Amino acid sequence: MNNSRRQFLKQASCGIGYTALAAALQRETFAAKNPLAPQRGHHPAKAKRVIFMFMQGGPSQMESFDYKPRLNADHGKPSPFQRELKIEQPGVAMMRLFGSGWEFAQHGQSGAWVSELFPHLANCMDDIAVLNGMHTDNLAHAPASLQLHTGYTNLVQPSMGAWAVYGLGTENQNLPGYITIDHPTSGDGGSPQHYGSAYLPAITQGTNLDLPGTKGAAASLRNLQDQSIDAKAQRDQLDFVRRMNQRHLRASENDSQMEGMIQSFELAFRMQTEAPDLFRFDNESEATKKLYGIDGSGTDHFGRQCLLARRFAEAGVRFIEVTSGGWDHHGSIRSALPRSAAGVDKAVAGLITDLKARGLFDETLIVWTGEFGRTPYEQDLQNGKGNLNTYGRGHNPFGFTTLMAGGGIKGGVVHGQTDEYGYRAVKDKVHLHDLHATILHQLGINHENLTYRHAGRDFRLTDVYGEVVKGVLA
Amino acid sequence: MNCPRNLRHIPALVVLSIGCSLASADQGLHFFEQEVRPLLVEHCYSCHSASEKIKGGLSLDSRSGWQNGGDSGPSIVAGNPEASLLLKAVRYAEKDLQMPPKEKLPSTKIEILRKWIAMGAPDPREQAASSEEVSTAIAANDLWSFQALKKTEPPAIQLAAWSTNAIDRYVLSRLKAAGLPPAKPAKRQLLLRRLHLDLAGLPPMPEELSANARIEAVVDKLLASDSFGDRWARHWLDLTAYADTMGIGRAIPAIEAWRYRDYVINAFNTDKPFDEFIRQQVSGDIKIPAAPGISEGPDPTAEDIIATGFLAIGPWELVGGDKPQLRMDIVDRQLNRMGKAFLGMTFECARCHDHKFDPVSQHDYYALAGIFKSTVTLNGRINGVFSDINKTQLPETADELIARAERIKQHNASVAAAHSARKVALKQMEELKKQIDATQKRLAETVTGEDKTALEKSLVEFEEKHADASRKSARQRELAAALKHIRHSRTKSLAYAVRDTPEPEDAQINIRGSAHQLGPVVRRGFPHNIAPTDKPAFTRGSSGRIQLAHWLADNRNPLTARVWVNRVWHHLFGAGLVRTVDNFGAKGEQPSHPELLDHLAAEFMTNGWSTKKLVRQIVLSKTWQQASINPSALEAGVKDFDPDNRLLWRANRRRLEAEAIRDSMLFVSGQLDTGRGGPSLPYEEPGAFRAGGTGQFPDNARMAESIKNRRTIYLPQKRKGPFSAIDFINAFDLPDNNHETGRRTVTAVPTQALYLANSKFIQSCADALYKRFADHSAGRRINEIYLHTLGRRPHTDEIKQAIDFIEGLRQSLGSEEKAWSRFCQSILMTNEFLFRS
Repeated sequence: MNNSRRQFLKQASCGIGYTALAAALQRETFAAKNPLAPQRGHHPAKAKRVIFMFMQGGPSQMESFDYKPRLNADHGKPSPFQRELKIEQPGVAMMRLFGSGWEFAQHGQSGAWVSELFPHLANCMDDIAVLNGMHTDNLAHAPASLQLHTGYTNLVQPSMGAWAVYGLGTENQNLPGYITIDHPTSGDGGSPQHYGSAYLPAITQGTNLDLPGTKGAAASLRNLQDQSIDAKAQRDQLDFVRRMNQRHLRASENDSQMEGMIQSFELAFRMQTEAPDLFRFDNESEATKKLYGIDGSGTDHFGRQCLLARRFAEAGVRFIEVTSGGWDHHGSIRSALPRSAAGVDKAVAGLITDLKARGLFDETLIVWTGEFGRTPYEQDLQNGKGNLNTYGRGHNPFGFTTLMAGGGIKGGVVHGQTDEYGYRAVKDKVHLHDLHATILHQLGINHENLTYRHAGRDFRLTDVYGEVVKGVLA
Repeated sequence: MNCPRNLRHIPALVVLSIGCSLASADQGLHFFEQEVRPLLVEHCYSCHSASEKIKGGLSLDSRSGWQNGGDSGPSIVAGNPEASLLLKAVRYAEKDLQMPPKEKLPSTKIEILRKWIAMGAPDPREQAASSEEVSTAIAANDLWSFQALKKTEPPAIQLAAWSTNAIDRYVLSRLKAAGLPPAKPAKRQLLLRRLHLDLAGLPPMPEELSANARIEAVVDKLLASDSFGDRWARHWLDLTAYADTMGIGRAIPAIEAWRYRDYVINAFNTDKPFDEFIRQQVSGDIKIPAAPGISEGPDPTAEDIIATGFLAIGPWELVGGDKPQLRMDIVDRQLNRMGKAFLGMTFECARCHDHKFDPVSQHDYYALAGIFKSTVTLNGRINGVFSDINKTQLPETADELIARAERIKQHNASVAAAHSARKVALKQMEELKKQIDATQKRLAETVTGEDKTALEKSLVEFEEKHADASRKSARQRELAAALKHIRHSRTKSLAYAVRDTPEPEDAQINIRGSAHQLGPVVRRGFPHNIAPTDKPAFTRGSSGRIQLAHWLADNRNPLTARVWVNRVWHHLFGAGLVRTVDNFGAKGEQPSHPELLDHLAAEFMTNGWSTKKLVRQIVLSKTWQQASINPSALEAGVKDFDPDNRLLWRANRRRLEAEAIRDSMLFVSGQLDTGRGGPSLPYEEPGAFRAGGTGQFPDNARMAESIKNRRTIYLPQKRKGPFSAIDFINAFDLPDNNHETGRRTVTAVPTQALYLANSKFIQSCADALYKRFADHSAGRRINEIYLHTLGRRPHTDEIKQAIDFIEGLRQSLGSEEKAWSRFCQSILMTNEFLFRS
């Protein structure tokens, strides 16, 4: 911890509420022992944990959950939108409206519109809130996905998962509080900063698991195990080290840092025994695997991510992130989008079904979102020589769709809307800051009170913004 | 409180109170109460009222609130709705100025506001606009760090053995006042270990522990060793967000960054006066122009130019489409870095509004911003897409020219070698293809058993060879492309450096930090409230960085010497006299020993800003040489009133930094490579560099084998994700390369334990450590291992424990060598090895 007791008092006099102060003082006293210990939030939590689904690249809202009959009707006409100045985009956009190639229908009691590309999710619409008025600040992948994860486009800041663990600790002391699965770390859309802790305590950062593409393969964590030594020998080794450490500690009038090291060894050892079992699906039934689409086809990889996510949720991990890449459909959207959609549709629906069956749905918040959406006008990477089948759509930060479910979210709600072409959010707009505020709110955290003093000021996930989206709360 | 960074909420609104109301007062007030107040309460108060928030500095819950206004300049012209920004905002007339931000008001409500303004904006609400945030800024006179250094006489000698050093006299007088005895002197072995780790970043070797040299001589030897720079330069690099890649989006190589890293190491090793160190880094590239009475300065040397890498290298977002904003973001970053590193100030708060806590105004910020805005940092594009850091051609001596000619020759030879190796491989492929075809043909004809088997066997062989050659050809093609990519850095001597823009200019205030919402122009200059006040005048046609550098390094600047002396203290004690080493403002901490800090700062300047003299003075003090335990102080109940050891009643114990852990492991196992300096990026490692397009390092980029065992500071650093093989050190709280920080956090997390228990790196060190003493008898071997790693001999009971442990391992692992290696690894995992006490 950065701050002395007196500084906290100073801070408190500058407007931070008593609750935050009390929590901070409390944390200060035992942070030295275990920063992951579960903590109470500012108010009773609706969700105990989050499963965040990153649709990396920016899914098209017009082809998924934001039904735009006018766009289809005006297909091929010049777009009424001015292209944003100051903005560099690849390829040529002739700004002609580009209709969705897919049928929409209303589903569930709520009658939410869903395109035919998401047949499984269509059956879950009464459990899902659709946020059609999303918007964000940047239209390049790197800054936009950084903002999606950290709230900021141009600074390296702690990720939302790190904030959650910082604020609440975690339930299972044998596992990290924040786990990401196969998170993209390279190219424009990926970065380890998405799950980093920046200036927050390092233990709050995401632990990224590798999940091989091979069918049915289990996840792995680097250095988790050493095959050249059996558990007993390793226990002997740790006991030897512990004896030396304790002897040294006694001669040192005690020391919280040294005690922390001793405890981290113990946690590591517990992880070694608990985590590998969690990574394997040996005791999952064939029916469950099938539910998630784990069968070696295009649904296999994301299906395994979602099943892992459920297993971590059960085990008490606070924040879990899964990722589906390849949503950046600049070209050939008509042939590529169905693959992307099919890749996640079954698994997300399967996860919802499975969580409900296990009584975990109400306490697990699921968020499905890209870093932005796509333009209603076409983009032609072939400089005007392409045809309908090669067209795609550009990046669109002004309007897109996010799904939320479980964890105190009201199902069957469609909140917010874009204009009649799907370009700009116009009603009940929800910025990413608002999404962050809402996620923290469901976890029992007031986003304005979860702060960390760094570089002379108090930072928070939502900067100076963010309002809880009350319209989607149950 | 937070600083907003973009424009989603742009409140705008100050009022020119003209007060020529046409409506009668009563009518107007009635209208206000009936129509306007409810509207303001419903739609505006949540962001613009003292009880909620005051976004954009604007409160709308009192008349004086909007009369004093917000950040965007005059906006209600009473009586003139069309000239009022407030109305523009609610009408959504401008893209960046839309209020309320969530949803436009219905037209009836907009009409109410229009009518109200047309009436002269009558408003009965009297209470003063209370903006607590604005009023909390402390006055310059009240901030200790802005006051001139105070000269005091060190307190009288109070303990004979402690009399030697002014540091001790200040510290002891405070201890005595608190009724605390100082700790006993640390044992010699421990003191030597502490000295070696703090000054050189490596533990002492047994011969150094057994020698009888005086401590002064040991200190001088360590200060004179190259290892001193290897360790202390890293402390400085932490403050500069140094890395060998640029861009926070992709890992694009920062080909020339290493020159700045080497410059910093060299500056510490040659004990470059710190004021000169500042001047070079801020303005080394500028030749001092002739002026009346002043002759023109000399041409900048290569070193001068390289030093400005301090400003040029950083986590710049190179793909942002909004280039004007990008430029101001870089200005902001440079200003912050300069402010933090040299002055311990957090200027960034003043980007959007006057600093809420410190006596720094937005005006001060943009006066400095103009200096950096008149400075070129990014210049040119990489592959037409990504902005590039400005590169300056370095002046060369004759020797350097000759060396470069040699480099060019070698480079050409490497390219040619790659090409010809590829040709050979292609030729092989061609021939093998022929053999494969021929074999296949014969196979089709031959049906009998043995012949067929033989043919099939040779077909497999040919195909394997073909695949080999194909891989080789691909590797050589990649290598040739990588060499081509870095051609200019091998054939020219370039440095990342800043330079002045052709036409230096003042900056305009960026309202709420947006480069597209411009306020008044602010003349370039220095913060008003920080001495010296006779600030140098700017010369025409220059950015003002020379003047800035001289102002920073002026003996009368109250912050510069204090901040640096405190940083040195922090690195030697584990905590500064001011523990918030990067913040000397109102939100920072007060010094624990203000007179001592001033005394050290004054003496530091008198000693020619010599860092080595300062370090020497500190480590020779009895204060620094105390033991890390003090039972008498504990008995006196010190834990109740000074648990954090601010009074310095004992030495602080602390875990080694990531670099020191890795370097020490290599060192004690006899593997540390003493090679130093030069480029470190692994272009020539197959697969470590993608030469196509912009050229970038993939996630799994490996380091060059040739530098793998060098000290950590010489290894390449990425801005996102580590080069594999040094991910080990990232587990130990290596600061994020994208943040300037003078104080690292220390955590104990299970990933560290997993690395210590299971990583290949530590196991290879353990193997090497065992092999170093494999020839010795078991007893002597244990002895040597303890001496080399922990700086002491094992106790009798420890020897027995070790022997039992190794015996157990031998049984479970089935190998003498593996058992000993595990034992060595276990010692490297202990707190005693990982901590300095």
